[in-house]
Amino acid sequence: MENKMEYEIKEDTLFVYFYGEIDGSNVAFYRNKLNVILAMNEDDVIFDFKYTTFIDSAGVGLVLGRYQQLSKEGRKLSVSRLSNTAYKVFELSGLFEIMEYLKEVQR
Amino acid sequence: MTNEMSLSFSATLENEPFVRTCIASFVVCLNPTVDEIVEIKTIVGEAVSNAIIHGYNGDKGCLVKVKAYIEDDLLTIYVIDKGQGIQDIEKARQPMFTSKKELEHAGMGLSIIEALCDEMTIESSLELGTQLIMKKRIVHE
Repeated sequence: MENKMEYEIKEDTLFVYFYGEIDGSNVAFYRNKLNVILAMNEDDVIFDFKYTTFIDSAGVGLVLGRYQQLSKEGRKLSVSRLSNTAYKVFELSGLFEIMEYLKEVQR
Repeated sequence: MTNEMSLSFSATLENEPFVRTCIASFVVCLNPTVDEIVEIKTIVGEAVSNAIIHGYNGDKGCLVKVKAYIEDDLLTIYVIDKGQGIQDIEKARQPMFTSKKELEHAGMGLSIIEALCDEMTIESSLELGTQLIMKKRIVHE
């Protein structure tokens, strides 16, 4: 599967869908693209990982970094639909103590 | 009988997907679940990126070695670098500890490995390198 992102704006929320794998080898690619996408408006954001086949601690760093950036702007970031293992990785990293997790999102 | 494999590759993060996929394929004979495969990919990925980023400081001229053994339902993986070694292993094992904060690292690599495998051992000497040993039973659950 190609590593890519898609986004859409729905009811004042910016949805970002991640496809493929996120790790240290491509995290800079995602970071650069995300910075452009997130600067488009001032909406709250949902990162959706339903179509992500692999995400590791580099991906956690990516999400955490964007969370800190968006928090400064007064915007909320939530994550949704992680695989079982990715959920464990995010939970261990303490992300759900600061971020909301959504089991389902309407697409 | 023990089944074994070994792999040696340049210390660049570009190799991470190939290496974790390779180990995941090696384990297929144990008939792991989808979750177990993702867990194995995750621990291999974390260990390999540690060797590249921390062991070798991203020096692509260096080689990382990965060896894996299957004995009954037990998978043992060695990730070996001949890099700078870990100054303080206890500190490195602490969640949220990172020696490279500026790179947006979560400092969670070793904690993730510890949580997803059954046993993790670190052997490290300054200037000589680090050997990370991970054991995981494939129980099909």
